[in-house]
Amino acid sequence: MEGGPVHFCGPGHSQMTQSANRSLELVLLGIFTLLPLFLLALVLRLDAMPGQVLALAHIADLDFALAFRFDGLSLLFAGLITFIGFLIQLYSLGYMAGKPGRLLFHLYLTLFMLSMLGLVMAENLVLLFIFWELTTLTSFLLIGFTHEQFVARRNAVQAAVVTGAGGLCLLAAAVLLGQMAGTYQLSGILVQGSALLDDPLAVPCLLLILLAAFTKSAQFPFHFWLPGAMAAPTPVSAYLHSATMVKAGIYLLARMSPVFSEMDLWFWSLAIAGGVTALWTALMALRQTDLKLMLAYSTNTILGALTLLLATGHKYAMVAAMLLIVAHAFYKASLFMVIGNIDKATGTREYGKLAGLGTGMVITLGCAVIAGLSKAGFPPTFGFLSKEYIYKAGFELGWLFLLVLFLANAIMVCLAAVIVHRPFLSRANETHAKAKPIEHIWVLWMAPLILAIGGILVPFLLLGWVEERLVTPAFFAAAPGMEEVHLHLWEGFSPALLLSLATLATGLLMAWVYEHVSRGVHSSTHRLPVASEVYFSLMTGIRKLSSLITDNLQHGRLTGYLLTFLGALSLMVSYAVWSSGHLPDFSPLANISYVYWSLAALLVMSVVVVIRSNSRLLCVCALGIFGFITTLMYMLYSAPDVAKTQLLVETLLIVFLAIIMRRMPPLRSGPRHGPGRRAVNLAVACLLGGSVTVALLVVTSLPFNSQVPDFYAAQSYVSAHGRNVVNVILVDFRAFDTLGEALVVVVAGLAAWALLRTGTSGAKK
Amino acid sequence: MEALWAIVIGIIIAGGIYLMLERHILRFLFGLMLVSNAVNLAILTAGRMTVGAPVLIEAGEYLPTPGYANPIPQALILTAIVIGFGLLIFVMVLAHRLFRERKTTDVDDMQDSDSGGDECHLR
Amino acid sequence: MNLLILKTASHMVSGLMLVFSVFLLLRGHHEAGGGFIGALIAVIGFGLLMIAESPAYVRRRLRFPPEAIALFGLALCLLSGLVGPLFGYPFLTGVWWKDILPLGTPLFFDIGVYLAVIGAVLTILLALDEELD
Repeated sequence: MEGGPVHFCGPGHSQMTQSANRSLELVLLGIFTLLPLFLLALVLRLDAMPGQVLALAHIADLDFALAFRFDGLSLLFAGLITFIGFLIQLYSLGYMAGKPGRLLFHLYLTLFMLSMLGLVMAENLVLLFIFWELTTLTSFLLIGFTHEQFVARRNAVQAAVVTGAGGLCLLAAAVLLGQMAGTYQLSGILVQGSALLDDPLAVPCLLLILLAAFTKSAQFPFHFWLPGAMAAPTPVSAYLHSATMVKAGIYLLARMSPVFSEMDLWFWSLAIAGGVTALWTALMALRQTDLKLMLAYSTNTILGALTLLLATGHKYAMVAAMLLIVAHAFYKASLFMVIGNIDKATGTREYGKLAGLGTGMVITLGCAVIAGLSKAGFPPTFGFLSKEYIYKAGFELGWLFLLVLFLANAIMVCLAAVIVHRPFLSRANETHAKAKPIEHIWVLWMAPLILAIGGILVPFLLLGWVEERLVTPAFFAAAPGMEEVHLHLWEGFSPALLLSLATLATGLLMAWVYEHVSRGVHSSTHRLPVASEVYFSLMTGIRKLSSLITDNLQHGRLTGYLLTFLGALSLMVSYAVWSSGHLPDFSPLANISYVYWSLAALLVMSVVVVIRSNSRLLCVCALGIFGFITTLMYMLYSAPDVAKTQLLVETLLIVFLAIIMRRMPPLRSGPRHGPGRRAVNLAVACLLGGSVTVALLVVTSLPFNSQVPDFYAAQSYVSAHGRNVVNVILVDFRAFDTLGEALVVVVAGLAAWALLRTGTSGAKK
Repeated sequence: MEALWAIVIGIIIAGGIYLMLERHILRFLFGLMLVSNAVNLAILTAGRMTVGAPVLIEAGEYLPTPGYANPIPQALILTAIVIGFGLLIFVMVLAHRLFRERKTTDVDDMQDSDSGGDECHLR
Repeated sequence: MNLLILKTASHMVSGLMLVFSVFLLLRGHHEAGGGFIGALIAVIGFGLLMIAESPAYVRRRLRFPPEAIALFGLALCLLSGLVGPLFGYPFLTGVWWKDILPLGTPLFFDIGVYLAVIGAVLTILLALDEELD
């Protein structure tokens, strides 16, 4: 796990270039920051156009298209990605100021944003996969940005391995889905909808999609990479690991829900994974002492809740999921930036070391309070709105759902209170970390403030717009044909409202006794296996296994390699011959003239001599006889050109062999294999030879198709003006083969020449 | 007729493979020569064997005399012989060079031939 | 090794072999023969000279380095293949002029093979002999 991203940022330019670099840097930073805003403006101008596609390029043979779609779901995500992307770029201007490689940081963020946009707008499944892997790659660069630290490198690799493996699953799923639907275009697949489920490939395809989505969205048991990814600088955590990348899996599930949502497997796997993730990571969040990790685990919880909601396919659940995606992106990104500010001011994120920051960081405190209220679901925030619909869905779905969602939400309330209260509002003493003033850097509070206030103002002022432009189109994209749901912030005293209040009360109660609760959670969970440790032991195991394989297969003994290769080949050939189901027919042997038998006997005898003899000269003589008898065979069997060539080649080869051999020690010298190994060699050789014999017998017993030879014979003189058909084939019909052959001979000649002319000991002589 | 040569080719291939698995590099070379010849014969056999009817078109004719031998295996074998020839010569020179560098004919002892004879082992 | 008979005879024999090799090359299109067979005969002829005289002698009489001959042969193959595309046929299609003499690109292709094989094999043969002496 020593690999990690490498950045090239070289200090040490001269004064002259520095000022030029400074202005270039400013221009680039401006572009990086304003690009998302520009894209956001584009996205907002678009209307949701289900079924409409922007195709830039199309490869018909591969059914691959560089095409983008603009339905509600894509636009909802695209809006979030660009809007929060802009604020994160803005925040990073302040956060990364003066840090090495800040330009690269902004560049990586921009690249990530573009790949994420591509992911949610891709119309083609293969394109979706490509962008999916691009987000993995760019997030690897971002998580490992502080690559001088071991933990950053390790966790970057971890995230890349887990989400990259999921990406491969997505590729396989895309292929299966393409096979099932007959097209790789999403619009073509979604039109067919649940009709695709009749295909026997549907179950493996769904399982692969689930693996991809669960790894990307950090569902149990793949949740561990998300807290690990907190090694990244805080803007990255705020952007990738709350608002966007982890939602890619949710996006995939929502995108595929029209196809699969009627399967039982879909319901159960999503419900169980989502429920377990929500509860388990909520508990894990309670036991953290690092504020950022607390937020990371609570992100996990939200992702679990989203999966749980998508499992049901119920109309309220779908609406609640869409609302939760937006609400969570708003308050979580804001809270992460708040934590980033705390970190920047005090240099620590440890819960126990922070107190009384509210006096020095008034605006940050404001952001924390507002975002925390949204996280806790106080009316009338965005968080409250989404929670109302979550509970509405819960009432429709049964008490178990309701219980899971209630507990998860209560822990959210508790965490929100804990994060806001202790660091900001409690009284500081000398054991706590001192805070430097940071709020003169306006971007540091501007970005979280916009998000936090947006979390309150949007449901108040823009609810109609949100419903009409964002949530309803997205809802229809994920759940086509369902009854429309109208959003209301206030619906009177409904059971959902009462449950919301109960959640708040429980959460606040938990926050009040937080110290005890977290200690209890800690002592009861620390004995359980931690998923990241399972991951690390798995990785160690893989490394041990691969070194075991390498040691056994790459031992450096050439005959061993050859034996492995030839053994595998002999097994494959003999299996192919055996499975063809033909039996060899030896009956033609009966009426063969003694001339051929004696030629055959001479051939076999010369082979035996080459094997048995220890005299080099005898071996070469036997090889010569062997070669000349094959020449005779070509003569006999109507191949005069081959016979001549064979004769000359044998002559020259024997000459070469004799030249080489003079310089080499006799055959008796040097070690030989032991008897056991020789027996294995013999077995492999006999198996291969026997398979070739049987294969040839089978081939020659089949009827002969003379179409191609007849064509060549008929065309040889008429079209190619040659009477020697073999030569015409060589220089005309199949001249490309001959060109390659001449090339091989020339290359072999030049290589041999180079071998002879170069070398160390040759020069010494 | 083909049945006889199928058996002979099997024997040659078995013998050649056995030799290729030996540790003396000359035996490996002998084995390679046998196998490359045997494969050519196998191509000839698989394309059916015709005695005494080469595919030559007589002067004044436009087609070869009926009953002519299959020309395709012959063309393929010609290409294969030439390529095998180039390969064998290259392997012979390589063996010679290896012996010059390493002063050994034991194939299994040629573990670090890539590093130019330095005592540099992979493990 | 200084054998008068071998030296005298080898000059004559190898000359004959070279003529024979060209004959084999040219008749290849209609009778048994062809570029490769002709080239091997030529190589054996040069090999005989090499044994009787010396590799340096053969190099001198060749005028061009054998590597260059090999590459020239390869280039000739390629060029004869490129004539086809000039006339709008696919690569390596035979193009014929039968007006005066039966000339065609396959002939040049075969000459290219002939030169390539002579050059390549002689390269090794000469280098090997020089290396061993």
